[in-house]
Amino acid sequence: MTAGFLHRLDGWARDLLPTLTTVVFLILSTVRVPVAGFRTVAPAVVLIAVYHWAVHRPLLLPPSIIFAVGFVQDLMSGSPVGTGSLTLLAVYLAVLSQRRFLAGKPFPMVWWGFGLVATATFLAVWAVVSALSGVLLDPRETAFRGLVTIASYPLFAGLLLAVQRAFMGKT
Amino acid sequence: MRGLSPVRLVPIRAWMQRFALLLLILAAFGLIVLGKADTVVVERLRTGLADTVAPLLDLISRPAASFGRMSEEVREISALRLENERLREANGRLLQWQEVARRLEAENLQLRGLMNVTPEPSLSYVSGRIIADSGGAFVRSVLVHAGGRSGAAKGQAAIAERGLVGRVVEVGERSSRVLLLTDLNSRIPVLLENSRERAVMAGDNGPRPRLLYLPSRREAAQPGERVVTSGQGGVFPPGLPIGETVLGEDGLVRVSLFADFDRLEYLRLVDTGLAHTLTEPIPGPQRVRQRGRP
Repeated sequence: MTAGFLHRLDGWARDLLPTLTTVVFLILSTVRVPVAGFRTVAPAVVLIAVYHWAVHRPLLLPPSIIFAVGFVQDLMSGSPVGTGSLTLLAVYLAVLSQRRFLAGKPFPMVWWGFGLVATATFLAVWAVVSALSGVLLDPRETAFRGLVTIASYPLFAGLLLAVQRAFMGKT
Repeated sequence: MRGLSPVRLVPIRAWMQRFALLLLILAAFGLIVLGKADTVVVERLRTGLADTVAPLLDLISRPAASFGRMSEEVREISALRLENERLREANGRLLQWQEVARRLEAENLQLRGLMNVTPEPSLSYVSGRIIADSGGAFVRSVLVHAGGRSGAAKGQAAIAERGLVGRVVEVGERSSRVLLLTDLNSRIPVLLENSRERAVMAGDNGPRPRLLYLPSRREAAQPGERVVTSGQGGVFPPGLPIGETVLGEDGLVRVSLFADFDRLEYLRLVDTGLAHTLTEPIPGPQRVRQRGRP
């Protein structure tokens, strides 16, 4: 009885890992590091987490959580509410529809997929925010941040993969 | 997927999830519309959330801040000797200026007395540590760990050691959001100190805000003129240092800001006593004036 309950609790905790790690990444992304130029190069780590779990464990990161994470991100950063939720959900949807090309494939392939998704995301967000604010924003900064995000994907996805391997098994 | 997920359930669950996904995407669209239409609800949500997570963010941002300070110190130690020499020289110069300032202040007081000028309201300050940053998003704002409880109010000017940084736009109990001068939506009435020309300084998300509504002959303004707050609008105290005029690459007159936006750690919110008259009264007594140390 106790063993069964513990086993269930254990399984439940493992199932929560994708949500937990995404929330941790969300908190990390709002913390201010007073180092010169850090703000412009900070990679979009939440995007990485959502992409990673959408590829590897889509059922464990339900859309409702993604919506909430995007919403909180907007509230914390002061960007127009809804844009964060919308982009993260769009990424999730895009990955789900192309999942057969990504799931179980070698890492460079997944990374390449992330590159495409991130490029599209950054372009779209730039266009939407420009439209909402009525000014053409400087695209260079967005491009740079997109590149940094794509380049840092192996680091953050590696962390998530390590967590996944350690606690959730390989499949 | 351990525990309670037999294989047969997965397709159904996947379908449900897809359906929920579409619904939520629609909801996100709804949120964007709501955010555009009703800013009061969104603002209340924002301040509520910020207040809730402020203690946590404060805790997490401390090691991040120490890390930043450490890397700064390493850099400083390597340039210690040069820095020392520079400071000694600056000190000598500043002592001369102090002398001049004292004389002028005395003279000013005397003249004010002669002309019966109404004294300017005295300023008080609320200090708070920056606990969160909008990061690389398209918004330039920071969250400060000082809220209505310690006397922060909407519209107050936020300053760092060297100059103006931004304006308080949202106030919660424990935290407030400061819109930085560089943000797209930032508009500050300013004064060019020598020519006494008035203008509006407008952010465009770049590091150097533009100057709008300069008289046309000033379009080719000589660079290096000090820009300070004009105090028009009544919320900001006049004369807060902001930056110097520079000619941007695009030919526009821009302001190179004094405050070092990369290394902000504490902000001081300047209370003129006038901000309260423009917004709703702040609940509770404002006993605590100084919170944290800049």
